[in-house]
Amino acid sequence: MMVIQPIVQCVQLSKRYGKKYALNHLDLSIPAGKIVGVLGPNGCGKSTLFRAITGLIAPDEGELRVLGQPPGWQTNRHIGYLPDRARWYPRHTALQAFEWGASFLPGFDLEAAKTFAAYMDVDLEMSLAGMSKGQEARVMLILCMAPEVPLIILDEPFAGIDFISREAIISGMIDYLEDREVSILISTHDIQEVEGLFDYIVLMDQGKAIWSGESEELRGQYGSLHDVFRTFYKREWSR
Amino acid sequence: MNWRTFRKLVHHEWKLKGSRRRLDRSHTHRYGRLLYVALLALAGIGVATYFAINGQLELHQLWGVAIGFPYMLVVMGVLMLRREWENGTFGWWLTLPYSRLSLIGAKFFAAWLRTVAVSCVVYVVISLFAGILTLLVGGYSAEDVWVTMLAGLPLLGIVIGFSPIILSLSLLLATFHYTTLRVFSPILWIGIIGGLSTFYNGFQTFLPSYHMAQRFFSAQPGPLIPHLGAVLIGMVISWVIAYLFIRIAAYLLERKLSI
Repeated sequence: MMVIQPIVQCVQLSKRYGKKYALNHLDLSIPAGKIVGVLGPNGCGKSTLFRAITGLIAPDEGELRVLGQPPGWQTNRHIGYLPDRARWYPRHTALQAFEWGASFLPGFDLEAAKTFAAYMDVDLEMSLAGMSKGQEARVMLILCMAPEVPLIILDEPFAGIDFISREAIISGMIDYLEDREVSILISTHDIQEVEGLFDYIVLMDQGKAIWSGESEELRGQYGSLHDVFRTFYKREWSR
Repeated sequence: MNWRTFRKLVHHEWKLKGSRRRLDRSHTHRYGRLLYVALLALAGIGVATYFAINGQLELHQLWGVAIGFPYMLVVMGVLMLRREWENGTFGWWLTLPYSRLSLIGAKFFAAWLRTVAVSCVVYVVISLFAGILTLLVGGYSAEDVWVTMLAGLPLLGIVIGFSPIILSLSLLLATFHYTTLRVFSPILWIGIIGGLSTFYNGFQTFLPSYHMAQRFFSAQPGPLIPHLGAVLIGMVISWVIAYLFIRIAAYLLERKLSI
């Protein structure tokens, strides 16, 4: 039987900010080739996990392997990453942003980026300063999807974005996923719109993974993601 | 990283990409600042012209503007890094698949190139202004203009030569602010302000003067920069220290980042 190497593996991974654990002895193994929803309430460690995976921050303890290697700038060659609360250079046009991608992101397909832009209704000549948050989010998502990489990480890609942009982004992603073999990690609060996208789910709380597995299995046990949240995050739900 | 990619990184850093903080300001605030800068420049030109008309200005004194260069370099170095945070682009920048030394090194080189460009512009503007004063006000000769232009060259050469240490220290200062070691940031600021004061007090003897430039045109021309050897050795030592500062900044961004 062929053993598929996990795309991300954490063993007793910890990261502290002062006395507070953002990641608290996290044990997690995420299989390759899945669309993974990393879900949980604010401050549960989702963004910290993504930052550790991309080498933005160094964990205090434990072991982390990404694509079989310790994370760092070298492994970022194989990752498309949309940081949490990210923005783009205001004086760039969308085309200049994509040219930036073609210059610095290995495997970036400029033509694919232009195709995505047309599909997502992004004006290539418009400057980012003149765009709405939703339009800017589409540009940034294209920057993550245009490189030919095995792993894409999207940290809250729908935060603060209007319904139409969210729809455009999700349909763009579905279109993209049709012909690519890629693992995608997505953290989001907007579970209702994207629940159908996920085929693997990681539920986090207080820096730990409290449940991880196939989304079908989770739904089979607890119903919709809405119900899952109500069951797993009683404390937050009751606030 | 190959040279071509590094050159592209430097080019990316060289370009002005805008500031969200400035965009968020009202039009009145933005134009108010522009007006303020224009008024300052006009006041400078007005004062210099007034003293020139009254015969109280020696053209070489126009190089007094160089006194602002070290402070400009500090601001340039700090903003180079801080703008990534202000614009919300630090995540993109720091997850590029290149070492932190390359990333911060590209910012450093771009800042240094901007210093060279600003120095060239200042040199041309001061030279032109000296020429215009000579033509319009009188009391100055063509030789005065040439000597002034000559005196400016070594002065700006020294600014450009010593700018790496100030730029690298500014980048290091800005880096400290985003790390777990930000508590040391105020101490470093006190250090840099103290260092600049010492620079102004102690460096006078090493600076080129108008009279040396004047002598350059005499029958027995002397050097344009006093203690040239010491200045060059100092410059090389400052480059080594600048490299160390950049390495420390890269290490901090790699291991001590706090976000």
